[in-house]
Amino acid sequence: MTGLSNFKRVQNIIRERATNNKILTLISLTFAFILLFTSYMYPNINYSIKIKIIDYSSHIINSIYTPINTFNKSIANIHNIYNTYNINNEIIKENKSLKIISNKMQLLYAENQELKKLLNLPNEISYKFVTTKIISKSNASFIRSVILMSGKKDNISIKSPVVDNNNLLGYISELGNNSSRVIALTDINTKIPAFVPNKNIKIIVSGNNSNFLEISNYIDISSLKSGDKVYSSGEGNMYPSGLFIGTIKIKLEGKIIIEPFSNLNDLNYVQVIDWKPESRGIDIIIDSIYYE
Amino acid sequence: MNIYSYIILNAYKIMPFFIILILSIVSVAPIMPTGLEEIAPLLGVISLTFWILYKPELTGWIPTIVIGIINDVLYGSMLGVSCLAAVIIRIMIIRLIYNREINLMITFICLGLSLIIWLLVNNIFRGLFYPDLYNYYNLIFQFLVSIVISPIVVFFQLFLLKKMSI
Repeated sequence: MTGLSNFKRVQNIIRERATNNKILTLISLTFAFILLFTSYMYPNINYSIKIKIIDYSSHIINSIYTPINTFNKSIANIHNIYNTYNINNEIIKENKSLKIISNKMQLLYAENQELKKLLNLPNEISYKFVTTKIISKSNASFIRSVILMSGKKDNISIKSPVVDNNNLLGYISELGNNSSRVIALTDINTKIPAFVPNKNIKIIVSGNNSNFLEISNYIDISSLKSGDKVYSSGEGNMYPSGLFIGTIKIKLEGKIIIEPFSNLNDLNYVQVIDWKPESRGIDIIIDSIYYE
Repeated sequence: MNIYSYIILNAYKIMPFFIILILSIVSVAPIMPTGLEEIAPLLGVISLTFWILYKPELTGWIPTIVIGIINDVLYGSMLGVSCLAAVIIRIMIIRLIYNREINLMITFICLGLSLIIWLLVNNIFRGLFYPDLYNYYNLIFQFLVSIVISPIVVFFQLFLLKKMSI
């Protein structure tokens, strides 16, 4: 019993010495503030430190991510097998309506090509892409981003748009040699110039750290209806035009939101568009804001 | 005593740091069901609070700062934000437990306060410029989910602490 109380007393002394050092507290707090201030004033230093750490630790992150992801996928597979009958019925119905739409689309496509020929319009810009694996999904209430297992060595450039079958997902915000970070559409710092083709309305789509997007410019959008499709307009030269963003939804209280078509969290692989000006055949200098 | 026995005998000293590190990485892995990813529990913060409470001499200022920096890198936030949050959490816990017996109630009070500090500091720096757009529900739900999950993490780490027997 005495031994135990002595042990506790020694432990308390160690604890007091280790924890109640005011100078160390002050140094740590100052260090944190200096780090924060430096990151704010010199974003390049902040950027290079972060990207170096991600580069070196990408394999460790991947080794922890992969088994958890495999386990999650297995659970999803079991759930799918259990609901096969219901899912199949839904797919049959959807397939019927898609066949009708596909027939209409073929007619419209042919008509569109013919009109383009008549107007002598130049060919659209075609772009290459790199398919890459997601190794971490850093989702929290304050940020929406994922880390990719590809970087400069895979010919990825900063600010490149990230898509999943022509559905816009986000853009490359940090770029290392072996890894890169994608900021999702739904992140509060993402702003995308967009348009609604059937209404000819131009809007700015903004993330708000939820699963939906908001319209952040103040034009008359009362004509928008639930189900209207939103595409990137290509203005600002940051994203290609015509990438599908999502569908308009009107909430019960009348607020208009956009439901993104693809969610980064449901995917394991994404495509990074090669959006460098030279890859698009652009040989003039483009605004440096977008191409550091 | 050779170098290997020295490392093995002193391995317990770096164990808290590695547990916090692994749980921080796990919290950015897909552990939540589809659609609820943004309210994933902050396992790293829960673990950091636990080890500062129970083994402050092993979770000093340097490990706290390093964990903060690693979290900044993992989440992609501005370098120093999580670091500042971690330092504030340590200061708060040290002031709270100074000359006080640690029990489960104190543990959960500290956990709650740490989560509030962490989320507030990160959200202030991230959404500072867009207060109108900000989605505050996710912030509240992430806090609640973290609180609900925390007993599992705490009891798991208490078990580890017993096994460490130091």
